[in-house]
Amino acid sequence: MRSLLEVRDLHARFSDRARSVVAVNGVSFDLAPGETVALVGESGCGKSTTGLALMGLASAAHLAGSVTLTFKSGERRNLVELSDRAMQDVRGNEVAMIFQEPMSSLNPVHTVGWQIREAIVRHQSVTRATADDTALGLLNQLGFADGQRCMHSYPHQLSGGMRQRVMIAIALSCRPSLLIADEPTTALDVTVQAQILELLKRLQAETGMAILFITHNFGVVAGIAQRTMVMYAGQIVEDGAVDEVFHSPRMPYTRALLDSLPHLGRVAPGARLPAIPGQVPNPAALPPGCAFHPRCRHALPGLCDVQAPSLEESADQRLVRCLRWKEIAAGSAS
Amino acid sequence: MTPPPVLEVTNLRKWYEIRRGVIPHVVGHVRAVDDVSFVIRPREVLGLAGESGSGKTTIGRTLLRLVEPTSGRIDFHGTDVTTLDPGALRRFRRKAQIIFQDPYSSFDPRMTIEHIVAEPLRVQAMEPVAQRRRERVAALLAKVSLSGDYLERRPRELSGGQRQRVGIARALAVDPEFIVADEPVASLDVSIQAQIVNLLQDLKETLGLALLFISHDIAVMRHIADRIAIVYLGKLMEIGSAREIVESPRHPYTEALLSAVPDPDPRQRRQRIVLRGDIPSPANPPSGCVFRTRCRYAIPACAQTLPQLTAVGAGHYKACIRDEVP
Repeated sequence: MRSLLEVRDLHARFSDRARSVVAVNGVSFDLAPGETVALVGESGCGKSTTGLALMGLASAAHLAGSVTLTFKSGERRNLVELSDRAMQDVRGNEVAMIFQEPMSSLNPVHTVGWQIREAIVRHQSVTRATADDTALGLLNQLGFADGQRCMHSYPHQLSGGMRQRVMIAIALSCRPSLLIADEPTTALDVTVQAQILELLKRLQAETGMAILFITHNFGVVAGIAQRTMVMYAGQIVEDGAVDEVFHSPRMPYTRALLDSLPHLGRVAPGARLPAIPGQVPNPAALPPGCAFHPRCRHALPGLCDVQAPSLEESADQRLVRCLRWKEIAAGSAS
Repeated sequence: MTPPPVLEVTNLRKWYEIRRGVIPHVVGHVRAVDDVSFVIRPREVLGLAGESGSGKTTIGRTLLRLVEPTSGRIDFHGTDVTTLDPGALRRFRRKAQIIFQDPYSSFDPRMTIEHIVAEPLRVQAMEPVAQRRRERVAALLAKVSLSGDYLERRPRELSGGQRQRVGIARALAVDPEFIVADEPVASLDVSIQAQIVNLLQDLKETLGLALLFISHDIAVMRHIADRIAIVYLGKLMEIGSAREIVESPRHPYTEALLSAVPDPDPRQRRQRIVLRGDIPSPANPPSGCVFRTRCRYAIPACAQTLPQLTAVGAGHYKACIRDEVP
């Protein structure tokens, strides 16, 4: 099957007179239609900048590389080369995005109905009444008991979970083929998070859109995605099926991160959690060699602090960025 | 024999008045905390779990009288904290401290780390000699694994994890025996969370602290807490040993809350109970059991009866009139 999205060697660099920070450092991946891929990592790893770059919203960054999207019309275009004007037609229509804090994305002085209608009228030549019908239909589809009342509500009158559902309604109003969801459930309570994840899964089954789900929460990854990409210091360090990455992580960072989680019933309560020493490196001053080596218990002096590993593909279609992963997997590494 | 509790909370209530009108008059109450009772024993970690708006933070702050309770008793070693005069209150806070979720917003950005950690000492008129105070602050920083280099730094120069270490050092400055930790790891990166959880656990062991650990993250809580209390809409739903609460919850709300926790292990996918709707407004809570509007086991009697905490096992209580569920 032809891929929906092909990202090749994407770089995003922020700079001012004093310094230059590479937030995204050579990210490449494909996304198939209808696929859900989780992009997981800690703050500052470049996952959100990657999402914004795909949307053409990383306007402060210098972008390099290519982001090829197959449009609904079948046409394939490199989004990095599109003009701002052309990108406006792509956003919403072909690719849509939802964010962590819906309150800051919604306009506080307009009703929910006005805002959904705005998105529809912007991309489709329909009358206001038709747009209203579509908006109401969407709200009902998204589980609002009283869609009509919601149409006339202002964002501040809604709860966090309802606001996020409104954002999803706006995002889906023009039936995009790709939804980029940047930590959409992070600000929500777990019970509301469960509602939103179920909703996204149902909508995906109904519409066949692909989802790039950006999160720091491995639990959420396991709940929504088939494939996951782990990011560290601006690079993808591991890529594979969720099941395999969780049960046999190859990149020491992935393993250490999974081990440090106190999930219910894994680590004995009261025992020490295997914490990762140190902290996420400053993207303006990345360590030489492998960016994770100062925190890695498998790091080999003279190797990991000198040679930068490339993203290596193995026979089972998994990618890993580690010079020693084979030794570590075989149990022969110290 | 169980030792006497450090802290005993009885029928604690915090209602906020809602005032309306040209001549403002009380038209109702937001029941942030409503008749909550529990004890915390020496060297014990009591986890307080609930969703936003459940009142867990208000409970924590009320215990230290950072928020004044509307009614109820808070006995600290047998003395009711709610009636203390300002002098006695200050002496009480030598024994009881708090760690906040985001230490950054609780630090004065212009102060050095030394001054931030020393502030409780100054308030309590402890260690008046500058040299001794500096040594004490350095020792406190060492306890939270920060070197003396940090004394002269300012909060903005520190990472989130380092700031939380400073917040913990500040709470420890006056040698407290009880600490309220309000979402201490919620704003930290995953790889840093484990460091702070380990640190809190070490401190609890070495200093013999009692902790009220407030969190919405049940997995972290299961790890660190001895007992867990579940709150919903200002009321205690269930309380018991951490193990029993997580492995055999007896309240329908606890069951739903646990089932919503996303498990990082894709092969461990549990049956998820998706609660419908949102938490009702604490200004207008449902009659009877406050959880009944979202409970899949609710029966008509739940709207009439206010459920009381009743024993369902050794030290395990739930507020639900249906003994047989879940």
